[in-house]
Amino acid sequence: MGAGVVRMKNQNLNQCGFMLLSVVFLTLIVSLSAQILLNANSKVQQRNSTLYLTAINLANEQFAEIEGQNLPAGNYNFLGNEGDLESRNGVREDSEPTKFDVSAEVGEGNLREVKVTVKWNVGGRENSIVSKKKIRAR
Amino acid sequence: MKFKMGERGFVLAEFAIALPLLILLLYALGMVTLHGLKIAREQVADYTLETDAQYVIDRITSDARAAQYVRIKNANDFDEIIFYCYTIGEQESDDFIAKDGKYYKYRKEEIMFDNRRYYKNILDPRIYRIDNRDGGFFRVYFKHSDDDYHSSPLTGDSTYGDHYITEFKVDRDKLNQKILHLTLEMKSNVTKKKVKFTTSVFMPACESFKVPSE
Repeated sequence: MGAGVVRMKNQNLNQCGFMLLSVVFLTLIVSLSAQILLNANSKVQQRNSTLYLTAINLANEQFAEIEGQNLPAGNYNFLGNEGDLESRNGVREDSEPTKFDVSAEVGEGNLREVKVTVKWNVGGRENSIVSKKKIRAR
Repeated sequence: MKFKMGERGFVLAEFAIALPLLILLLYALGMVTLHGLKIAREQVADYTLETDAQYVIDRITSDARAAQYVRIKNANDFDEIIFYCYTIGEQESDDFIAKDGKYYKYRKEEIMFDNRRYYKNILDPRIYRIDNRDGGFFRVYFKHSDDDYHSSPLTGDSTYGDHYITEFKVDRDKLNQKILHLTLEMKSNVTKKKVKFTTSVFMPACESFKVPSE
């Protein structure tokens, strides 16, 4: 009789521990996935890849202007439409537009190396792309 | 003291504690899963939106770069941008006559088809048509001639990311007629987000660029 009671107690205690462990693990899984999702949420809401694409297109605009105007060597600011420098891509409707800063460096010679740098700020962090192209003088 | 732990009582107590916890946990898990699915849906919609916009921009800039003549047509319910580019085409079939299983040129000399001799450069119109055949949702269609039947659009033909064009503008530079300005704005039906890309392209071989205001 005594041995039976002890065995029963042990069984119940084992079940109790298993349930406590499962509750703890489930809580951990839920909280971790919630943290990961909350972290991803801001990135989905504020997509930087759209801004990268915008910057690449602005760099191409600068290349087209430099090639079209056949500019000599030197440093240049943005030559395209000024209105294109502000963009509302990748941000929420109510937030401020992103401002791009485009500059170009034209090299010497007949086949000039043109370097275009595009900079922009998003969420207090500075991003930039550098695009290079060889353009023949006409 | 005699304490007897009844099995039934312990099971009841266990469930009384565990069931609310379990329900709470399942609720939290469900909410997290729903949120994850929502984020994934937005991400796929954004991705297809960006990819389609960039695809159209790439096609138009690469065709514009090779264009000899550029024409823009405005009509009531559609706009058309036509780039005439040189491409390799076949000689006109009027020059050849088939007889006894052989090809003859002007009924005289027997000829063989040869890439070097009987193919030539022809002007190939590449027509981008912005059309609202889907009832207010503008999409870009591509065709080679006015008679072409064009079925599937270049943009917005995606199951996961439903989007359409809200602004599409091709303009000539005021100073230099060899520079083309392109503005493309698209809106997603899933996330209600808009993306707008502006770019320019230099057309070295362009001889004339006519806009409808002239």
